[in-house]
Amino acid sequence: MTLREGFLTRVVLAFLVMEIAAAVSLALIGSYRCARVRQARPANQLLVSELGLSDLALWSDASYCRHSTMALFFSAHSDHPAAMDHFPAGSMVPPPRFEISSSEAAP
Amino acid sequence: MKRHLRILDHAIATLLQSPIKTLVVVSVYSLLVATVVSLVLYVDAHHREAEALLASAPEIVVQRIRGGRHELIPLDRAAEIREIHGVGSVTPRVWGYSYDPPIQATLTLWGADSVPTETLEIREGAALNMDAGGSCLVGQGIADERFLGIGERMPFRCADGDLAAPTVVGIFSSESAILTNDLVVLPNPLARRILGVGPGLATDMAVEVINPREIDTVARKVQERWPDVRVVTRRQVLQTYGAVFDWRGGVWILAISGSIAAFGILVWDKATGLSAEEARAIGILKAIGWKTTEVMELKAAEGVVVSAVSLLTGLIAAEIHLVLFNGAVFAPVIKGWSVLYPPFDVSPELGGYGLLVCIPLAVLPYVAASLLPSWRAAITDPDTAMRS
Repeated sequence: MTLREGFLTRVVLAFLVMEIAAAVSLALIGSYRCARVRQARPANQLLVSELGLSDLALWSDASYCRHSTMALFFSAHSDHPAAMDHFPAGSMVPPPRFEISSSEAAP
Repeated sequence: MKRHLRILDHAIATLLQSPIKTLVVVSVYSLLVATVVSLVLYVDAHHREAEALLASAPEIVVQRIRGGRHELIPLDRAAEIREIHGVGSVTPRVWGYSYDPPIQATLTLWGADSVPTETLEIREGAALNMDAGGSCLVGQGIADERFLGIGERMPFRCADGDLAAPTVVGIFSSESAILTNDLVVLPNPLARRILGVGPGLATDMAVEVINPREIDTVARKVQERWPDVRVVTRRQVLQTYGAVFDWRGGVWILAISGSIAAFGILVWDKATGLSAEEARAIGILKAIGWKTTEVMELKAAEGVVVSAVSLLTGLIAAEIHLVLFNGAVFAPVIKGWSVLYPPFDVSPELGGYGLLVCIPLAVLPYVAASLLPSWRAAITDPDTAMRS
């Protein structure tokens, strides 16, 4: 079977055009969502300045994660020995093993 | 023009002669582009959001440190800090943490006199007061976890052992969850009672500096005057979040570095030599009269077709991951994990930055890797190329 001259090029170009259309459509949906986030920003900025907030409420497991800018440099593990840690050193140090003997565990 | 189109047609036909190999290369290539673009845009979106929100954070926060630990700061220092040249206002902050057993999460308690109503879902009756046991405003995360509604009570154990149960008079809107998800805003007297902060003390102090250029000077003066304080400037706050997101992005780069290396080996393998079949094909083309430039154009066309298809497929995959699935693959590492986790939307934006990062990564190495060995084969004698 012989293909017509330029057929393959046209197929690939059509595929690329379809891909570009899909990428642009998705980028437009993303921009629409970005605009929504931007709309809420002034109110959030006002909240930050009115309350004097200095941190994001992303990680509430430990105080040094919740207020990472206010934490002391060595405060990892001060809240909980197995707290999720975002500092490299904390990821390497395992939590201490607590052994509760049966007499201690009894009421 | 027609000649170029014929060469392009021939390049596509050559790629289709080994469809499995082409499909594997395009798939791996697309996956790599999708991963790198997703990561770059996702981390960038977090940086952007943190910078935009914390740009209005206090210029300087003054904490008191004793024995290497946080200590409550006396309120009379506020007046002394205010005397420093360039300082606008000094606001004592009363805040702390309270563990909430029912949801097994630590909440942030924040003392305030008023709250901007724009960030509240229900604005009616949102004024903080101390009537009838006090009132509070809670974040969306707390309201959802505890099934709290307006008018219900939120119990706390005070520092003196008593129970305080302020009435919920407002819930922060979900758009502010990135700041308020685990936040309970209380009137200052109630916050002091629950946290055990005495009347002459505060957790720390927010210092407003009139001229932003003088922030570092004022911070240095405060630090020099009181050796037991630690000052945190807004620049340091922004740098901290920049470092945290960069570090978390770095963890992902580390995780995908294996696939980047594998792709590098693939490109290197292609760059260092042609297969016997490819060399023979180039030899035949030369033998039937193709010029070296035409052979090079053919190979460049092959590389460009593979790169363009992979780049666009990778971009679409990245956008689907970020826009439709909110970056679900990277979220646990970049955003973290918590009991009270804010459902915030950072919306990565595909713009010039993303394209500038991914186009050189996607197009250049593969096209270059296709051209180099082809050039070597194209300049050799057709007979030698066919026999090699």
